Amino acid sequence: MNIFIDVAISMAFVFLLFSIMVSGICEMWQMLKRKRAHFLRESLEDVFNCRQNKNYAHLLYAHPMIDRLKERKYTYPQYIPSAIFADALIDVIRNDSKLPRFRFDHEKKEFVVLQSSYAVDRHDASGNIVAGTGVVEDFAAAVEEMKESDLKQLLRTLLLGVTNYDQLKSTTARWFDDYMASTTTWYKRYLTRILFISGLAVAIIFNVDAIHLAKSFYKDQLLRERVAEAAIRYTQNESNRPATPEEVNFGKAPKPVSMDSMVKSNVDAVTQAYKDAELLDLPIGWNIERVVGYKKYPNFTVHSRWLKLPWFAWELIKYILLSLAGWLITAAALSYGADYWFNMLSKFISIRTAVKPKEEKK
Amino acid sequence: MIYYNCHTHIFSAQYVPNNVVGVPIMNVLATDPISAKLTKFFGKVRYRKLDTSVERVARFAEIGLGTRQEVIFNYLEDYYKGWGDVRFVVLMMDMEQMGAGNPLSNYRTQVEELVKLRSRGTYKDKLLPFLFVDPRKAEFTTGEKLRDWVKMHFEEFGFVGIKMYPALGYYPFDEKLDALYAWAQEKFIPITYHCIEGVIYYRGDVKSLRPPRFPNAKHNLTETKNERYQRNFTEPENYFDVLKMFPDLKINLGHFGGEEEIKKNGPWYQTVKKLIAEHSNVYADVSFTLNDTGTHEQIHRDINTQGIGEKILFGTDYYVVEKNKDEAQLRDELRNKLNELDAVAGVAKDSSFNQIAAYNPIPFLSSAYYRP
Repeated sequence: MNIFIDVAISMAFVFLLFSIMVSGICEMWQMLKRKRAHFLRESLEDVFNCRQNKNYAHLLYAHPMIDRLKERKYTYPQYIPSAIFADALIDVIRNDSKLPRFRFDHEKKEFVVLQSSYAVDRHDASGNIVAGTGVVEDFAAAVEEMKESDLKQLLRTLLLGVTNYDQLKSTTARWFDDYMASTTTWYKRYLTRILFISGLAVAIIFNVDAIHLAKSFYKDQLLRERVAEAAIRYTQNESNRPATPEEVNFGKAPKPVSMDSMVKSNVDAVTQAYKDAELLDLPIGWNIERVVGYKKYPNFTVHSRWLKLPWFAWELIKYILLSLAGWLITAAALSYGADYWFNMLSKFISIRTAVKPKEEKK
Repeated sequence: MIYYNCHTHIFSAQYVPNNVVGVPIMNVLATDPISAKLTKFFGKVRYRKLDTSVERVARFAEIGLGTRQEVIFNYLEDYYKGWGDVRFVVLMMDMEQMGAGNPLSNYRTQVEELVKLRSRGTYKDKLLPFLFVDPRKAEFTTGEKLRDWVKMHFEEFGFVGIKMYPALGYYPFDEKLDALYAWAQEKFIPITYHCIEGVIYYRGDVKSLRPPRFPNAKHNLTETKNERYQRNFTEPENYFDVLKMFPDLKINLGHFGGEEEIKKNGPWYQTVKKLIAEHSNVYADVSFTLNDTGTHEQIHRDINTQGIGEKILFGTDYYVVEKNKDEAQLRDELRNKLNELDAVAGVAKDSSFNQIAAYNPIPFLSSAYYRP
């Protein structure tokens, strides 16, 4: 029983160390590539880039209310509050059909703009602006002028039962919140894929083969005990607990993080994880002897090995297939993240602590 | 004095299909902050020609990937601070029919963005838009429909000229353009054509293209490579046929045939000059070609040649030319060289430059809809 627990602890510890590495690399990659902002833009392009009409996503992003949310000139906002989105969308759509008209004044030799691009608010009998009125009518008229498309249908649906601006705004904001919830789910799936790919890359680069590791831990008592003891020491130090990654949510503003501090902390974490793994002298890394089973057949010289080509080919194929399976298992494990493996490791250690006294009593 | 830059672009990369040369690189440079930072870093490390080229590409990407046309136009305005009243002919581009896939945003978005932009501040008189026309667009089922669409843009939205880019896959004498030409001729509307061999050309199957209405000896219709087939569309000889039908049509052959043609006195350059000499309304602009200082002396000779000089226009091809040279640098290099040659010829300073940048554009841009 103890062997299996120790193997589980050792495996979890190796996955934890490499998860720290993979999570750190992914987090830096996301931040440096501004992935979240681009994903948000792409998800809005999916809905608002209407080939039958116009690219309203572009017009939305050019709207000052959204344009001003971005950090730098050539970036996109990472988060758009639903109220701001609703205001901007209503403004873009209601003014859509109100293009300015130009006339050239031949006497003054200048163009005269005949109509502003902005819709005009309605006025009451005394000439005061009647807040909110007219916007819904403008919006509805602009939607009706659009060519038939999915977007037109969506905008028409937003207008159902709407009689005033506040209702239109809250309906639009609600739709946007729901859409952002879906975007969050898609982004999480995307991140899982990225973690898996990065995990696979790390597994191949460092040759972290889960099958080979499990076999080695099972067979080599010294190695198993050394890694398990190191894992216990590691978890006892609370400062080693990996920081819980911020939950991705496109409906909320991300916490402000300085690029420099984020890169520094991730580089530190990745370096430390690599050092920890190196100190344990784990059965990982590239070793040509493992490929051709040198240890299995110690009397074979390299020269004689080449003469036994069919045997060598079979060994190689077996090695590749087993390694591939091992790397894939490692990649899948690493995609769960460092936080997950730290918790798993703590649970395995608790089980070990509970089981050991009983065995000692026996 | 009012200066006119008769050849500029402010459409961003989102209006260019991704399969066009350079666009994927530009997109990576702009959307990928790591690449953008690296490019800028290497650009700043000015070491030999390579790094300067990297810097230019970075600048080109920086401008072209501006998310809004206004941002790109503002960069252009900044180059001319202290120049007084400068007006810019902004040539639109519709690349949806070039067989390279759809751009992220369609042409309609580009037109409306520009129209709305122009209603702001002083842009209405500074920014002189030329409407892009492609006779192959699905909605132009007849030439009359095409003409009415263009007419509406002139009457309602203040467009001042027409832009055509035959290399994208059509001949300037396409039948569907006849009605438009008749109307443009009547209203003295200027039309600028792209007239240089370049990297933006039709990417579809050239074998499926209809043979031209007016084949000429310069056409090579058996050519199968798109890159070479573009010469059939761009061939300056094509304009003899257009002008035979519409002798008073006002046209500008952009880029003067190309810098290499000018330097070696090539056939395209000679044809363009012949067209100018034989027709009262044919112009040529020096955009893009002026980035090669080897063309400046020839340009000066042309400006001072009777019958040609009055129809040469100043243009830079901003921001396309940014990948070769900075707008201010190429403009000043040309101006300084023209001044130097003017001094040798014993004429007043800036007389050649003013002719192409201030005087010649007036008759070119004058129409029933606009008068500079």
